[in-house]
Amino acid sequence: MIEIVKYSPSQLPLAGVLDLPQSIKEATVQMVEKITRVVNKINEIVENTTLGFATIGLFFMVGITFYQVVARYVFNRPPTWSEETTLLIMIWISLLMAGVGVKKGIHMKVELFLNALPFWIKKVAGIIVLLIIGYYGYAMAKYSYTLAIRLPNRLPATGISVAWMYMPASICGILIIFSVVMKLVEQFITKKLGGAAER
Amino acid sequence: MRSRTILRLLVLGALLFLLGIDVSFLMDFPFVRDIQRDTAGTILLLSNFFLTLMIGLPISLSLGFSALLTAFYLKIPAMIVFQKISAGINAFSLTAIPFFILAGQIMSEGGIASQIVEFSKLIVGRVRGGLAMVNIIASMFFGGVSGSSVADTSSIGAILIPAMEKEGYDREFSVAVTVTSSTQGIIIPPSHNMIIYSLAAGGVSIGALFMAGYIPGVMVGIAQMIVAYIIARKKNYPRAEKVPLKEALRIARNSILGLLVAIIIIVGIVAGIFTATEASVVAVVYAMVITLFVYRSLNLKSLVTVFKNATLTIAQVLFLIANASAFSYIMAYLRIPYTVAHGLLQITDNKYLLMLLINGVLLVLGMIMDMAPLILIVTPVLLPIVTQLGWSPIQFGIILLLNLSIGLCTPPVGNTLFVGCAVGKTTIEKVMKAIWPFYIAMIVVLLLVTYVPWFTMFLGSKFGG
Repeated sequence: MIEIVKYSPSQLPLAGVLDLPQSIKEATVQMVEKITRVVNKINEIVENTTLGFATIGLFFMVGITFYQVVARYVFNRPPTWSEETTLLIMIWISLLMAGVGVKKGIHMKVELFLNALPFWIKKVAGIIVLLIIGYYGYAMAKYSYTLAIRLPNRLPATGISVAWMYMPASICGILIIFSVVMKLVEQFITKKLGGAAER
Repeated sequence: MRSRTILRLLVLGALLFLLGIDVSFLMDFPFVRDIQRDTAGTILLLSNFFLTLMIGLPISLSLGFSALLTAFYLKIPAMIVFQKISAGINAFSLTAIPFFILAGQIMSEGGIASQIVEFSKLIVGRVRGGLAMVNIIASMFFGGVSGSSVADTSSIGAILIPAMEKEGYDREFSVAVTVTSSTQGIIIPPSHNMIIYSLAAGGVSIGALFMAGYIPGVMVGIAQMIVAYIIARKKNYPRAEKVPLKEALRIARNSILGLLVAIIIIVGIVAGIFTATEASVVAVVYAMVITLFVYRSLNLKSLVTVFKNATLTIAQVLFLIANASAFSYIMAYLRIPYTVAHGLLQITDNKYLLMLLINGVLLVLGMIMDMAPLILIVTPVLLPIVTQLGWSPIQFGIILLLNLSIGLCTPPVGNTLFVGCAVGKTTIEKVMKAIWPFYIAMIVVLLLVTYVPWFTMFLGSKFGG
């Protein structure tokens, strides 16, 4: 979630250097606010949809596996489809949330070395890292999609196409790219102006 | 000021060095052309991994990205890397991980910690340094419910660190006890890190691993209690207050209801009634029933929040496993395990010395990196040589976890220590003065477990083998 900052036109970057007419300054401020709002909205929708999906999925995982236990020990007739379905839901949950998690910052990282470096290197490293993540997301989306459409196999118990197993990785890749774009927007449009407003 | 400049230069130098290696291999500069393909691949894989790690790429992505780049260099189709990523989490035994994580989170959100603390007071509260003992025993019980040392530190620490300070304990000592004792949760089953190890080791029995963890886990606790007792004597720390009998009975009933989760899981798995996944889901359902209807500490709304938060932890752990499986595929392709084994045997062929060396390496690695990624990277590399030396994969699993759990309470990277300092509102530097006796206690246990197979194999080979 990016905070919406109310700027006055004089706080824009370069406001002192470029002597722009008041109307253009005001329009710029309004535009940035609008972009921030739209970006926030999109981000919120994507995050909440994924999170909602994952939460429901987790409930289903518990339900299905518990049903399996009951069916085996009480009715003595374990379902054949339950293990594979649970596993499939798990793959979907973890890969989709991992994609959104890039934005949320859930993945562990080592900050020890960066903290020893001057601030500007840290900042540059941050952007390089984002670009690497973005590229990795792109590769993940592309190659997992190829796997999903090319492999003809079916899953043994449920008989559905193996594409169901490779698709989540592809969507994960797309979500990773999405997260990276969101972070870049945050860094270059809103944070920059936010910084200007603080000064 | 001066040391900071030196540090800065060192880090920058390392970064440039790794970048140089990376670029020269990828651009195929003349002076690297004569290097053998396997060696070149190994250097590229590792240099790129450490480089990306240092500039702050998340560990999971760093594993996957290094694997991808090396695959490009070796002209392995990139599709195979991503096939390994999806296949890496396509293992049914892994479905136990989300359930164990969820059960642990439900129990800790549902206030199991305070029940356990009260219960532990009944057992050891009257010893000198009572609350320190309570802290250690409570972590032992908590470990039977959750396998996360961070959850242990934050929930038990939040209750006991202020209480200990009020009774006159040093704050740093309280934090040190909380942090180090919480590592019992990793060794005492159920522990999702053991499932990760079982997967990385190519299917070691989870039941046997669980059983093998009991004695070493309790040993860690006892060793820490001895240290805490000596310190308590020296500093004249008080005993805890006596609890009236009626109150004691109520506390015992309540907490035993919660602790039954641990018993269900272990008995179920060891007796062969449940698979690990089934046992873990029974634990989830039981935990929901207890917190919703008996303790009434959660309602449906807060339960949904627990589920939501659990999906984040689950995604983090499983995404790491997925990427690590691509990384270890490339490692196996480059025959890195073979090379490492060969190199280690050239240093010495005395198996006791070699094991000491491996322990040392693991301790250092544990200090600078987190647990789950290390289990995934180190196991396929070290397990072949360790079994060749005559150690069982089950015993090595416990040795590995003990090593890495010590790393969780040491700077520079120690999540449990960081959480402990945050909860106790103190700094790492201050805690270091109080924590080192506990390190020694843990290392003694580590050495005992390494060289005396009985501690792990007595239970480990009897059940679930």
